[in-house]
Amino acid sequence: MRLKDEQIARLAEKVLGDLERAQLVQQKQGRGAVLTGIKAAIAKDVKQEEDLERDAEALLEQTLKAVGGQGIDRHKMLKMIKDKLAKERKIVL
Amino acid sequence: MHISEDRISHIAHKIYDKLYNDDLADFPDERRALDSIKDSIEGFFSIMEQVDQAVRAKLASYSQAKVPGSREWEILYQKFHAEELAKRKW
Repeated sequence: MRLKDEQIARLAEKVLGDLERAQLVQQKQGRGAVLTGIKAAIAKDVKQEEDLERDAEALLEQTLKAVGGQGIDRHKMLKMIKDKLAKERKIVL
Repeated sequence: MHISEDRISHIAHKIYDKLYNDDLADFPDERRALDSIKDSIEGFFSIMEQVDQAVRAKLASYSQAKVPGSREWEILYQKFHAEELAKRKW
């Protein structure tokens, strides 16, 4: 999942707006602080996923170089590497 | 833009934990608040998916159809995407 900053801002606004309309949130340090907190939580998670994808690609290249890469399903191996990294880093894809 | 239910739940918990642990907000009903956050995320991606499909359909039917992924295609995609969001008052 790739999200631009403006999409993260839009998602955060929707999350908070929906919570407010349903009266499910008591904001303790003002609306701006809550919105910033939501954006930060989303952005951190998106960044972790992007880092994982980049690292998985790099690992795949290393592996293919080491074994020659013949007869290997690139897509399948990338998914295996991503799943392994996600488990290690406790990220849900 | 596909997103799994597990991923939606994961992000919802991250948002909830961030607000609660940083003392930014309290939630009178934890279960309902979490469900609300999950629904918001799901709704957001559902709309983004609809917008993406509408824009791709428009591009495909464009009289001077561009090659997907080309510079021109990307420029038109961004233009139509913004128009589609505005149409939906987003």
